[in-house]
This record gives sequence, structure tokens and C-alpha cells, in this order.
Amino acid sequence: MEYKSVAYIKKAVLIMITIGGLFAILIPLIWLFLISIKSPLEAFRPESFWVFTPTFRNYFDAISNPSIRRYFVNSFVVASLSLAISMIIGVPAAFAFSKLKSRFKNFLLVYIVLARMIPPMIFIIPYFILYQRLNLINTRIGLAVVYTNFNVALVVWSMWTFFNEVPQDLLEVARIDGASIYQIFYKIFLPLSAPGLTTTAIICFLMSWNEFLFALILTRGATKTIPVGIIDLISYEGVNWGLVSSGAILMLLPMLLFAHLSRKYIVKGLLGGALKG
Amino acid sequence: MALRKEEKRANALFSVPMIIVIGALTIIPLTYMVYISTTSWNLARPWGTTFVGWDNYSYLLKDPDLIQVILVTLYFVIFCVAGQMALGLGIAILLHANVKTISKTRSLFIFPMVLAPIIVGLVWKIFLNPQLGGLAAWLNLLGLPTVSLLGSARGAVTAIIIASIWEWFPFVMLILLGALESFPEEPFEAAHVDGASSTQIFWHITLPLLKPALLLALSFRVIESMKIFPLIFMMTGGGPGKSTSSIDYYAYLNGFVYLDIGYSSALMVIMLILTSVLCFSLFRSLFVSR
Repeated sequence: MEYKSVAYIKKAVLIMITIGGLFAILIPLIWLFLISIKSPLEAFRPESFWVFTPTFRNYFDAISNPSIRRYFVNSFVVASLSLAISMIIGVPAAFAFSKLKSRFKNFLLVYIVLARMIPPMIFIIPYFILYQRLNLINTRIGLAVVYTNFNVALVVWSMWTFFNEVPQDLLEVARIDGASIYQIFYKIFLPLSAPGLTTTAIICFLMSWNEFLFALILTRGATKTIPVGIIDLISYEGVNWGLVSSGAILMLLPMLLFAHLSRKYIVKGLLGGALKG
Repeated sequence: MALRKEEKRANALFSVPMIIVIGALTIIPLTYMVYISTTSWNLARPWGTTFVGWDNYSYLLKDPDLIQVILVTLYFVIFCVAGQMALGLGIAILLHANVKTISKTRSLFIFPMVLAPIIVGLVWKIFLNPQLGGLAAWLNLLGLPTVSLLGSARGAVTAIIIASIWEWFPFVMLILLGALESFPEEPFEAAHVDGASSTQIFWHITLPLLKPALLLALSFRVIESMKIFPLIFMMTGGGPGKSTSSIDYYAYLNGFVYLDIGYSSALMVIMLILTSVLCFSLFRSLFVSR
């Protein structure tokens, strides 16, 4: 009896620590949300904590602002375009790396890892100059192409892990039954790795949606994406913090949703082949 | 025989487009950057670009700011990664405690990681702002004086480290949780039977078993902590002075504020070589151990 109540108290303490920790960790994010539903006057009275009349004025302002709307559309277009190209190019290559014999496989996998890990700052100057020459600066397609570089690497690496989990025997058996490689890829391996495909797609989209450096340097005016748009709102004198934070909340909501949906596989997707080291 | 031929053709069809795209998108710009680094190219005077050979590289050795920038970067890497590892380990162990209510909170803990770096910067810029911020409000509540963390050099460095730990501890946490869940139960049960305390179990069984996962998380975080630019851009703009300018922020300053892209490229060529060597040695050991 006594043993049981000790275990009970231990459990209660653990739960309290977890909830306390969670609160401490999420409070800065909650604060951003609070600022987004405060009036400009209330925003500068932080001591009011949660005691104020919430207003959704900032959200209406953000949604009805034509340039903020355009930034959202740009982000969506660039991320989707880059996602589509990266998946079409990357998924078959990952399959070939995982299940077919290739002489340069190891070298290429290491090269891809490198391409993904190198700080993006290294690429920014040559891309800036080349894009000026090619008239690709300030275009959404140009930005999507840069993101494709990083996303293809991510797709190959992450899908390689997911394909590795499907047994090689499946391929051999289907070959004996007379299926072509294309049929095997399309009808067996793609459906079997559906969770992997979804996770990979989500991470890719997230990367492009969140990317800042290339968007900052390679886009101006009408082609800006939201991260750069948010910076713009801050650089004016007399920042409207309510508007800034409601824009930020609108930007991060879909990401939180995606992350929640893919929480089971997100580590595998991010770490790719290194996970089972 | 026909099968082999088909396999070869499929292999090429599947992987060649990827190789061409990745190859073109990396090799062309990087080669071009090496060329730029040997010129006196300045965006402010596009007409006067001349070949200067090693000049940009030899200036790297003489640049009085560079040594400070390197020290700032090292400081960031060490403290950010150490903090991420410690907090990630602590929370992973807490979440592993096998209580249902607790494991349900897991997906809330990973929120900071999926935010855009620029939003992480914004969150902390607002939270630490003495006029707007939560920190000021809490300090007020406890009767402590308000501090403006981003105003002083030391405070700004600390603020960026806090933001970076906050952003990336979930990554470490997820890797370690995955490892903790895959452990066999026998050694733990045996230790219990032998009457080992939970601290003893932690030091002598859990930690040694966690070592590979800890190393993996550490390698990833060290390499990725070179990408701290958005946080710095958002929170401090590299200042006050150059107190929070890391190497990549310094390259950005040289290239797009002072417009000296020749010198900035030289700095990035060196950075490319260093990170490639680092990545290559880390990942080779990961692939070889498989």
C-alpha cells in the first residue's frame, strides 16, 4: 500500500516538472501570440500578462494588407515548385541508390550529404552574381531553383533511408515474376514508402517556407517571401508589433500543424542515412 | 542478360537527372566563387574588377576583425551546442519516464525546432524587449530590475545563445528519445535486482548505451551551428560593435554591406574547405561503422 502511494507521488511530481518545463519553454512563443492579440497600447504594458481585452484587429490588418498577402502567395508558390521538382528528381534516384547496383553510390551519397550540410552562406555570392547575369534575380522560379539544390539532397538522403527499410527480396521476387524495374518502383516501392514520402515532402516544404538568407538576397519588391516580408515590417520606425506578430503567427501555424502530423517520422527524415550508424 | 541491361538503363534513368541537377547547382556556383575570390570585385564599382591572385587570401591573415569573428563563432558553437545537448538530454530522460500524460506532451516540446529561424529570432527579440517583453514582466513580478539584454555586448551574446539552445534542443531530444526507446530491458532489470540506485543506473548503464546517439547529435549540431545567421540578423545585427558577428555574418557584411564580394568569397572558400573536411570525416565514420 505504502509503496503504491510513493509511486503515485513520484508520478505526480514528474508530471508537474514536465508541465512546468513545457510552460517555461513555450512562454516566449505564447508571448508572441499574446502580443498579436493585444492592442498597440496594451502591447507596451507587459505587466498586464493575460489580463486584457483580446482583439483580432492585427490579424484582419495582416490579411487585408495586399503586400503581406502577396508574400504568402510567393512563399507558397516557391515552396511548392521546389518541392515538386525535388521529389520528381530525387525519389527515383534514392530508389536507385537503395536497391540497384551503382559504382559511384558511396561517393554520391557523401557528396549529397555535403551539399546538404554546407552553410548556405557559401553559395550566396556566386548565386547573386550569376542570377544578375541570367536575369533570374527577383524571380520566384530563380528562388525555387536555389531551394531545389538543397531539397534534392534532402529528398535523396531521406528517401534512401526509407527505401532501405523495404527488403531487397521484394525486388528480386517481383523480377522473377516478370515485373519491370519501373513497375516495381511505381507499384510496389512507392506505395510501401508512403509515410516516408509524406514526411520528406513536409520537411522539404518546411525548409523552403522557412528559408531566409537566399530570399533576403535574391528577391526584392513583389517577389519577396514572408520571412523577408516580416523583416521589412520591423525595419520601419515605430514598428507595429501587433501586425508583425500576427504575420509571424500566420506564417508558423501551418508549420506547427505539419510538424504535428509528421512527428513520428520527422527525425528519420531529417537525419536520413546517418540514423542507423 | 536482358534483365541486367534493363536494370542498367533504369539505373541511369533514375539517377542521372539528379546527378546533373545537383552537380550543376553546386559545381558551377562554387567554381565561380573561387574565381571571384581571386579578383578585387566590389559591387560598388563594377567597372574596376581586376585579377589580384592571392591578395584576398593574404588579407585574411592580416584582417584585424577576423580573429575576433572566429572567436565569437567558436564561443557560439561551444555554448550553443553544449546547452542544446544538456537540455535535450534532460528532457529526453524526463519524457522517457513512462508516464502516459508526459509522453503526450512530446510533440509540444518540438515546436521551437520547426519554427523558421527568423521567427525564433523574432520570438526572442520580443520576449527580451524591456518595453514589450515577457522577461521584463516576470522580473517585475519578482521585484527584480528590468534588464535590456540586447543592449550590451555580453548580454547580446547570451541572448543569441539562449535563442539557439531553445531552437535546437528538440532535435537532440528526439534523437536521444529514439535511442532510449530502442534499448533492451535486461541490463536495467538486472541492475534493479542487484539494488542499484537510479543515479548509478544512469551513469553506468544509460549513458554508455546512449553514447552513439549522443555523438550523432553532437556532430549534427556542431556542423549546423555554423548556420546561425538568421538569429543574428534578426536579434542583434551583429552588434553592439562586432560582438555578435559570427563568420557567416561577417561574410554577409563584407559581401552585401561593404560590397567587397572578392574578399567575402575568399573567406567563404576557406569556410567551404573547413566545413567539407569536418563533414567528410564525421560522415565517413558514420557510414563506415554501418
